Amino acid sequence: MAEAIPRIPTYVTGLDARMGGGIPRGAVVLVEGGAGCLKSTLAYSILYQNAIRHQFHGLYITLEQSRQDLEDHMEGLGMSRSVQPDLESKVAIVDLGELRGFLAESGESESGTNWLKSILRQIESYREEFPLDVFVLDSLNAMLSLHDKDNPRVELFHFIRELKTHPMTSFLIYEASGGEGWGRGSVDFLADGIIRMEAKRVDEVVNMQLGVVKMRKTSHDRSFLPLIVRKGSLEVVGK
Amino acid sequence: MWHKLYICCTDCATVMAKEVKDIVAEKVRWVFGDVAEQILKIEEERHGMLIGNNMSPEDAERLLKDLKELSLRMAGPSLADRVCEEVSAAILPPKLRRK
Repeated sequence: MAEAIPRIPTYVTGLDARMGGGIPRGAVVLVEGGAGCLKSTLAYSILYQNAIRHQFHGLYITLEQSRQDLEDHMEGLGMSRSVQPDLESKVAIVDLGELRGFLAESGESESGTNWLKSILRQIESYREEFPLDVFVLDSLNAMLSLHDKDNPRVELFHFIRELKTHPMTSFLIYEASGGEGWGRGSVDFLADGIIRMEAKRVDEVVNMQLGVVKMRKTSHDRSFLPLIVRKGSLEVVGK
Repeated sequence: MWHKLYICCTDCATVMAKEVKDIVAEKVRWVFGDVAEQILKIEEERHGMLIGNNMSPEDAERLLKDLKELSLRMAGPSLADRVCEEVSAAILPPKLRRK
């Protein structure tokens, strides 16, 4: 009998049961959708719930939204980092936007920095200091906009391949604006999983929906299901 | 050459044997990534100091304060304390270390 694949539960009520118990550990998952579709909330919630329930360590790198904004937003959704001692270091938020601001204030150019490589080195160094089970990059678009290389596909290929060498589960948030842009196809191919979030208008109400488009090594339901945010947790509802 | 006075153990000797600036950059890379060296260069220019074996205790304190402030804004109090501890351990002799 084949050995069961170790998985990391999403703790989105109703979702794990639809994909064999969760996301295969070590997978690189693209969380995509339009603005305001709860992409950051989903990725943060997975990191947060696993830190609370399994004492996992997670690193959330934000490039645009400030650490304080993100923290306030998540706290408003019932995901406070003060509910357990030491949770702040287990759910580590690092605001690279602040660092970019510091460089700008100091009159330094950030264009000489290869942010893709820098983030990889950051992960390596972080892992020397702490265990790292879950990694979130918010967002892939912001990171690539800092990249002045002509062909980001090659850089992306190496970035994602490198992420896969680490024993952590990675979530790359991607804001889909409808266009394919810079080599989007290669990301779809390289990622082990794709979770798509969509806003659907029904009469006067906009409802969020979530669908697992792709998840390697997993037999999963492909339905798009309504996503509900409850105090401190997420839930998909459907048949 | 103040901290040559503090070569009291293998740890201190190891620190002396390497470039202090490289050590500091390595210690803070997990929060600053590859920009770590650039930040140290900015600190040197801003305060007209050289991070290295000849750094004065005042310069070391100034560097610690600035790195803590930036890491606090970037990563919050818990991780900023860790940065401070790491850098402090790299550049200050045991008795002068602080959180």
